[in-house]
Amino acid sequence: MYSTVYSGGICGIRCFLAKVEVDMAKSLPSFDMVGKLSKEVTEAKERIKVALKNSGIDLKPTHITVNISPADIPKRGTAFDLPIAIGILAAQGFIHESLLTDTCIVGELGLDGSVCPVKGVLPIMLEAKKQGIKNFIIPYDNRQEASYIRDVTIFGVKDFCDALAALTSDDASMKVENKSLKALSETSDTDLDFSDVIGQDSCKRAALIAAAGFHHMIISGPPGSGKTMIASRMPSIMPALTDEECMEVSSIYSIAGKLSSQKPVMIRRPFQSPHHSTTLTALTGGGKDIRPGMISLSHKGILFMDEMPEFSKECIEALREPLENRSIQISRFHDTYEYPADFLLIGAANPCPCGFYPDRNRCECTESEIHRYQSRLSGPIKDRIDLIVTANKVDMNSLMQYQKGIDSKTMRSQVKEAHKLQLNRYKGTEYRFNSQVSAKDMKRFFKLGKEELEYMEKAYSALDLSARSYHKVLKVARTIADLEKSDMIRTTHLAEAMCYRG
Amino acid sequence: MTISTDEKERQALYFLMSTELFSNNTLRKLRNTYGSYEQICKAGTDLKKHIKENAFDKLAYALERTDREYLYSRLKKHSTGFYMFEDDMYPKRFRELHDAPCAILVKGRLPSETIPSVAVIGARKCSNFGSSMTEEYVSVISGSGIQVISGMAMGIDSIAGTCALKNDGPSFAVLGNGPDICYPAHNRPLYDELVKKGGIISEYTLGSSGVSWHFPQRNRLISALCDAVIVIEAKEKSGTMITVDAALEQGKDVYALPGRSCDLLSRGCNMLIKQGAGILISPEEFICDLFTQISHKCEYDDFIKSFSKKSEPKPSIELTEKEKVVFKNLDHLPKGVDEILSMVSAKEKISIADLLITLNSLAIKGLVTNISGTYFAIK
Repeated sequence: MYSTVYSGGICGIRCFLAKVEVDMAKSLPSFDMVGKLSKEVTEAKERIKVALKNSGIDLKPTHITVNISPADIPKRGTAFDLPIAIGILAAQGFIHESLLTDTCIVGELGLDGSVCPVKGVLPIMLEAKKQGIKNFIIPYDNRQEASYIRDVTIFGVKDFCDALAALTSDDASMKVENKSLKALSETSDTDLDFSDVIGQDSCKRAALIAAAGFHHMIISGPPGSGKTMIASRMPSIMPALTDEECMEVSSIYSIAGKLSSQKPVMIRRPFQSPHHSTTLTALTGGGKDIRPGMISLSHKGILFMDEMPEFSKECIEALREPLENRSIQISRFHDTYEYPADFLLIGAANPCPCGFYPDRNRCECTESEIHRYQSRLSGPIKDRIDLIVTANKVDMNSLMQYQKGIDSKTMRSQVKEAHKLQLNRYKGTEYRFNSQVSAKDMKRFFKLGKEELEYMEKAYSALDLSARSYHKVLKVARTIADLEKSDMIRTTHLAEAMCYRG
Repeated sequence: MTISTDEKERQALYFLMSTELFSNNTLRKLRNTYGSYEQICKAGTDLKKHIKENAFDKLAYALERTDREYLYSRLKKHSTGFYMFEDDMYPKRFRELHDAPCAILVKGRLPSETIPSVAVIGARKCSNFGSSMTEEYVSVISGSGIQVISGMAMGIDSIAGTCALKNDGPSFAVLGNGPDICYPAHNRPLYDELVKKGGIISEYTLGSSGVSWHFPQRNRLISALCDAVIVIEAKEKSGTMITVDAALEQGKDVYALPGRSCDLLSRGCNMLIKQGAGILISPEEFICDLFTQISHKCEYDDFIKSFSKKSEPKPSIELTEKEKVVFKNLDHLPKGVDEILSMVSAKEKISIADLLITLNSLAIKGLVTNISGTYFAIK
């Protein structure tokens, strides 16, 4: 009178394979559930009782005990409804044990016996697959995101009877067809293109460097100079997500409940632009149910912070760790959750409260006002931002002689080449991009020739560089050299890099 | 009537000044009536005849509460000099003023009276053009050993002070608040340097905060201390114009730096030139003008004799063709790189990367400065 069913749960971003154990004993009739369950999980018993009745199955009055193991991980959500119901039938002997050994079941039950969609199907399946599960029974509405997982059998079920049928007979009509990500990625080019940007060559150049070396960037400039336009085109020059990256990003979106039938997986690089009134929790993640924040939703993509100095101080400062570690830890009293947050930060800022500095004919701000405004971005944050460029107002002339500049496709191929070079360089290290190299490894990866060293020495005193900006210049120069497929960093690369130090 | 300037008298004057109830002329009048500052303090209700009820009440209250000796002793603690009108050290130039300060406070030293002085003044919110021009003029002026006087305000004033000190020239500031207070606070490094190498002068007592009406008053002292005033940048209606008016009243020469007619910050200067102010063509030209002005003043004889025209030729800087083309398109007003790019590429094909490289090498050569991101201007 005992059975085991596999299911999956989510804890932070990590998923775990859960074993749902059901025992039925002849004793006073009751329904007990244990295993560090939250309210919505224990509520399952009412749903299951009614759903089974409405599916035409009578429960004998017995003492039912359900345990979901590992029992020390907190469980949330409604995905355990279906596996518990199946477990009850199995414990009664309706389903043979052998059918359940390599099957993972998730789904929420409605009172009428229907199976409703749940959050996080994709990452649960990925984890279960890793642990050797071959068959999956999932809600019909979640079939889209699941269909991109290869080498497994997936059944998308609409109600409880379907689920039983899927287990006992090999009904092909419920099988979810496997789709390839390749086919999807070919149709997914964005319609935003850099060739739409008029003038702004310096910003475009900086955007290219930012994408090539994963350098965080701040675009400063007066209102209406096209800062947002440039930032929103950044995804169009980043290489497409690899299959693993795609699954990683989609998992986060799945947990956040942001996948839909129109967007079953995240095939494009995410682009998140939080409003400057956003709260700390919304940005970093957290809250009562510990959900991923904006920075995790922009994992492998772009976090665009428009009007960056207007963000609250705590929001900006909270970016320090993710910018350094590429992940964020959220601690609550019962556990610590780690969410990935490997994003490219693009910030837009006005140079002063009125926006027109250094045009003194229009800027009425005092020196201290400007200083105060600019110092809202603290030193440690600026330390982590390699590129600071200015978007100038486009003059009438260039608007009239509108010439299509370099387009996203060309830029993207340049970026791809640069990424390839970096991949080779950092093989076997913790780094992937030039921007991530820490000061201790600078000497190893960024070798300068004699002439270049002399040039840097001259510049160091003439331009009053700090140690901090010295490192930034080296990193950016390396990326520029990569873009030009140069093995060594040359003085020209250094010279250009110095112009972006801000 | 002999006026005693003993310790008690000084304490009394310092106390009366610290109340900020009386103008300099009122104080003088009261002293003539009572014979000494100390007697004013001891006059009691008799004072009511001469001053307003309100002022009397306040004075009576302050008299009751203040230990004059202690108040005066604080000057020593702050190593501040207190020079009364009657003292030998009191600047001659202030004596000529119709509302000369009854006493002044000095941190550091007073400007030498045998060396000519120039006041460099201008807008607080100055442009890049203003700041680079200030540096150019002040470096020549203080390089010639001439004293630079300013108000240590933000913008032109503090740039002038900083630049003069950088060139090891003497520089002095007249403040509109107590000499122990550094206002604006972020000028602290300049303030400390001035105390060490030059002087801070004020007619306000220790701890007095800068009230708005102090500053026009302070401006008359700036112009009084100098032989000529040069205005770098000013709007038509500004504090700078108050200094100019004071200077003209005192019969000092005023020079203004011409600017483009469309620049708001040059309007005031251009207007001054229209009204007959001297025009600043170049720092060297200005020095020549100044010398003809001061040649008849015997106190400067020694300075003029010792002054040799040791104008060192500027080291010539080699520029490449590309650098020349780019440099030609630059201005004292900051321009964005994209603007420079469109101007340069009208004549010659150049990529954005090349332009940035050229601009950076010009910056290293010290000809160009990088302002706020990717804006560039001639230094």
